[in-house]
Amino acid sequence: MNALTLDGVVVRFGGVDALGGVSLRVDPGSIVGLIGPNGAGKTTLVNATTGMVPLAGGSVVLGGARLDGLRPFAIARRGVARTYQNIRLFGALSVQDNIRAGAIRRHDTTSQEIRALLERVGLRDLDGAAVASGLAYGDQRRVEIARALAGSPAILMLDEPAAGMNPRETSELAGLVRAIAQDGIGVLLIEHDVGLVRAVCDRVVVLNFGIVLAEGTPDAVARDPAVVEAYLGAAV
Amino acid sequence: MHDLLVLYTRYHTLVDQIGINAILALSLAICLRAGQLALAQAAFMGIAAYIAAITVVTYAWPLALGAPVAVAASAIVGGLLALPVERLRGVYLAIATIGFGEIVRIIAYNLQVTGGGDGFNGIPPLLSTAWIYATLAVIGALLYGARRSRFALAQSVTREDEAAAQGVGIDTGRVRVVTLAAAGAIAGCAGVLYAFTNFFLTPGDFAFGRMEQILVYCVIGGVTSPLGAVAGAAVMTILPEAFRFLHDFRDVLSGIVLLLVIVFAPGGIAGLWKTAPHERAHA
Repeated sequence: MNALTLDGVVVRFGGVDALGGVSLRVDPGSIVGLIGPNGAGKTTLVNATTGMVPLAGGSVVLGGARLDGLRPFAIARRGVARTYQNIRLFGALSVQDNIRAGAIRRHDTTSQEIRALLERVGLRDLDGAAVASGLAYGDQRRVEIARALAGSPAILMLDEPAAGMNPRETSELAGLVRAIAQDGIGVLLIEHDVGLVRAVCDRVVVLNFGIVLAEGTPDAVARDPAVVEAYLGAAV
Repeated sequence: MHDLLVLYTRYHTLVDQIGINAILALSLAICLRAGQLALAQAAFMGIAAYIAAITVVTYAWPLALGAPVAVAASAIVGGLLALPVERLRGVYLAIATIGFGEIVRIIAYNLQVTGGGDGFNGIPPLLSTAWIYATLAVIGALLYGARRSRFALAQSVTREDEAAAQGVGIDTGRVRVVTLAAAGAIAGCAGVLYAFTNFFLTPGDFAFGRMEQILVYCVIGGVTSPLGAVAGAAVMTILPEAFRFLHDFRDVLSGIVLLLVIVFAPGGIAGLWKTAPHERAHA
């Protein structure tokens, strides 16, 4: 069981606790939503899990092996993939080279594998030779997900994947996220689109000021008065 | 054929220079492909040139042994140099590696075994134009063959976004070490060829001025294109010779050409043709 477990994770920037002891678990094949107001620490949590910022306390464990203290490339090689709030494709490279880069630590990706990954993220007709920075915004988001999937991760962390997408694209994204989880990959979904979170997530964790405010099923969290007051502002 | 021989006899020094400068340009081009503005190629060249010359002349090693040892030493120095400068990027890396070059030059200037400021004399003419261009062809073929390799992709990705490269599992530190070691080996080949076709070495041969020229070759040629770098080296080696009648003012030409390229053709000579598939966006 390659479950991702965060236990009491603390991240400190100077005198500020960006994360004040956050614990959560993402099981294989499950979709965990991570929501919270801007500045709550959602992206910091992803950065801490993937080694981009150091932990001041706590632990990150994947399948029984400690990840905290490892460098980002080593964590990625152990099966934690991510996308970014602000898309970070290798913009000057082609779509297929972006996907090849995603799998570079395992093998050289064949054109059939690249085509299969593009189909999986709904980009069947996309020209693989196209320069990544020239794609439409929604397509860039999908290519970024394809790149993350190319490495056959155990855990996929999606940082606001629906940002900038229209309702149709968001609906397609929901289907894609469900399909990814059905393949046995644990998904941590950071998202402001509460509709998307409720549609796809098995559990939701609410962060506020770097601590877990609530945790449970999407419906239970939506009814939690503390969540309503701190984040949602009104019942959803 | 006869005319070609006459031409070669008259200009063989220039022909040799073009080949050696092209190899040096390739050494920098692979660093730039990985986004590393590491300007130590002149130092790598000097290290290999002196080691090869000293082992062959002073210690009577055969060149077949001295040359590989010199190239290997230059590669090791390149790899080791990558470690202390691991956190440096862009102009800071450039300044640090230029500083390294100055250290090498000053050491060469003060050692007895290198001949110090008087230079190292009596190097036998064991290599020729054919060796220079055979080496250039081999290095060029290796780089061409590796252009679609996973390592070439790792270099491109490291150049594009180092944090995202780590995010897909690429050890960018190792990419830097291997890149600088390869740059050291390639510049080392140029150093050995230079030593045994010029017969005389001084620390000034490997000073900042040469490094500056190598950088210009790559900018003129197109910063991430090996073929462009070779073309840039050829053009910028021939140009000052073609305008020799301008005497001291001929060096101004290099500056003018550099400015024209930066302003009107930032992709350099390589911008005129398409290069490797995952480099097309740069061409």
